[in-house]
Amino acid sequence: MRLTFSGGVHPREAKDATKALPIEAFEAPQVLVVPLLQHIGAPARAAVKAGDKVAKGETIGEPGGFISAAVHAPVSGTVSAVEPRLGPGGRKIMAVVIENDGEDRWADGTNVKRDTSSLDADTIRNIASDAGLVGMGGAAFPTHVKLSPPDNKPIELLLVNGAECEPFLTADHRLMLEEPERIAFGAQLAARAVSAARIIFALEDNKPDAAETLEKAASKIPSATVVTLPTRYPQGAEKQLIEAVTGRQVPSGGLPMDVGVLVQNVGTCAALQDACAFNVPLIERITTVTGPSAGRPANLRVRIGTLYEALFERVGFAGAPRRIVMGGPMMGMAQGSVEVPVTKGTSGIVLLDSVPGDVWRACIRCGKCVRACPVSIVPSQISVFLERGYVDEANEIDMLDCIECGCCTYVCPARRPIVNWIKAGKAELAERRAREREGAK
Amino acid sequence: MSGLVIASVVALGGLGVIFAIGLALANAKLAVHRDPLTQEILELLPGANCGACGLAGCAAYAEALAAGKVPANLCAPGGAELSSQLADILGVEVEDQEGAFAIVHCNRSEAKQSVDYHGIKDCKAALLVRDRIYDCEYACLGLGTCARECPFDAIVMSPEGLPIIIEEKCTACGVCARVCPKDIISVEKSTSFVHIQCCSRDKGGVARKNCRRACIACGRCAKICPVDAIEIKEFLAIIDYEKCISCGKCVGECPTGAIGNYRQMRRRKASVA
Repeated sequence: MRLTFSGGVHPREAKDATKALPIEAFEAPQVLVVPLLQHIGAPARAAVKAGDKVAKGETIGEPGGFISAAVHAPVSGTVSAVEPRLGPGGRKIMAVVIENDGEDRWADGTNVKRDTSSLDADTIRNIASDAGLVGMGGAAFPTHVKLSPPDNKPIELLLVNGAECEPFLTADHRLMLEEPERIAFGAQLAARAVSAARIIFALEDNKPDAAETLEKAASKIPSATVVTLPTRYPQGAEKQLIEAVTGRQVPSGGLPMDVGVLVQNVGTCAALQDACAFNVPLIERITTVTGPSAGRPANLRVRIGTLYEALFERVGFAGAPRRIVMGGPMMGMAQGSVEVPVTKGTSGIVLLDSVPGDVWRACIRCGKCVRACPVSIVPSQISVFLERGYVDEANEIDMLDCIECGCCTYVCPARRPIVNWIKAGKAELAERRAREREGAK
Repeated sequence: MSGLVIASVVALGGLGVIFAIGLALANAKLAVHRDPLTQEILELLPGANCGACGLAGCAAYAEALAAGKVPANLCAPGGAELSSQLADILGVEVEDQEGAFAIVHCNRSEAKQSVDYHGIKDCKAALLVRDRIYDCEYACLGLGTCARECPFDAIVMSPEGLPIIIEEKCTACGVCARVCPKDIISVEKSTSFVHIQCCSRDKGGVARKNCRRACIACGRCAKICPVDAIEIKEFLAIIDYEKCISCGKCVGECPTGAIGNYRQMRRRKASVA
């Protein structure tokens, strides 16, 4: 059986520049800007104020609710300000600015070995929450929430996502090659937290070397297997991965837990093992800085809060970049500034040498987007509605099922910015609903 | 042959008669009762469904009027003429309705564009990925959402990408003010002639650096105002239209030209016409 999902595209992979480069530790810069909202959910509340001394790993932001994540100091030093700073979403968000004292002094109780054999599900969840873990594939959804399925939705299978289907990015690839034990160990802990009987490590067939190392690490776990999937974007999207591996479809508006599956990114698993075995919170991540305009592309282990400009000093430019994209080129967000910090969800920074055209034409109903759509909606018709501002009509034909993967826009011969419309349409719909709720009050 | 013709005529004619009876019965039984008063009012209303009255479109306003729940002078597009007509039909007195126009509180034509934006031409969509397009974070994004949403085609975008209100067409329905994500449009009475053309709440120096026509909160307008109608709030001059007598003294006093005198503009236009 061919393990795949319906729809999808196969963009040029462009991973050669960095896939053979070992992960390099990037030295923490002088000043770090740590946003209090790096995840999906409520922003964290600042737990420090300007002038406070902080140690590495100390909590500087308390979760602002259940769907929220704690934020920790990535270095030791002094808090110079707690103020709105530019975030990767193009908006100013509250951030803790830390002057690095260069000592890298750990906070009490962090970075000490802990016996994980006795940890039960609740404890693992609490550790994940205290360590500020979020999904590190890019979406940054708080991990402890995913580890807390309701009793009526038992989890049977843990899928460890190493697909890394976005072009250019190799951070997960290098992690699987260099530190497969961390991933395997973290996966076992995640499986224990949700009582999943099976673990499947899934990755694309363009990473045979990583499949080998994972195979070796997984062979020590009796319930684990490794599956290799055909390279196809968006293989790494949660619901598509589940469809490819298990053949189950997550219902419209549903979650993976509805089909008994939990999906965790390989980076998240590695971070979970750090948190459980060493009490190390999420303060650094692996980021691929690459692209045609990057001078010396690299896979860097970067502290959260490092500004892009510091990374660019290390990487250098090959010609002036026309566009700086956080994440991969398919789903990533173009940035308007280099003074944007690396956050927990920054899987890569891609320096592109071109900008999208501003000219598009009318939809010719060729249906390419319909075939490419991995969630089987009709992007062409939705785009036609939204182009004219018909948000309700677009909603009636399942606009909200869109996962914003960008396949439709990628294949469109009329170069229509379909995802752009859909994102704006979703925001407009949310605004209208909020207004209606207010009106009803 | 003729038998076939007669048979089909009888059959189809018979079917027609049966359906006609069915329709007539349905019409009698399922008739929707429309209040003639509501209908009459609805025909008078402009039909733009702009929502300026505060109700969900013209039909809702007509119903509410017929039921006597709302005053007859809420329809901004219809203006004074409509409200007096409505008052006649309904047999009520209405207060005089003053004319009003949408006013754009940004004049950033010389401000520098700080980032490239390549997405769809919609201000709200741009704000999903950017907090600004020009250096000034309060500035008009210039992508024309207001012009597109205006039900009366009363807004055109200038070459610099600023909305220009065509006052002959503007009915003060306020849709533009509602859709503008930067909140730079407001609806003000047509008897107010002096307006601050800036929304920057940046400190003076920052505002000036970002835009040569910014309000730098120097306070000279507030000082010269004979009726104390101007107050500096959050580094921005705010006119209290209740007090303002539209004398225009502040306009000449402003060092950056951030205050506009619409009396001159309107007069100029009138003389051209």
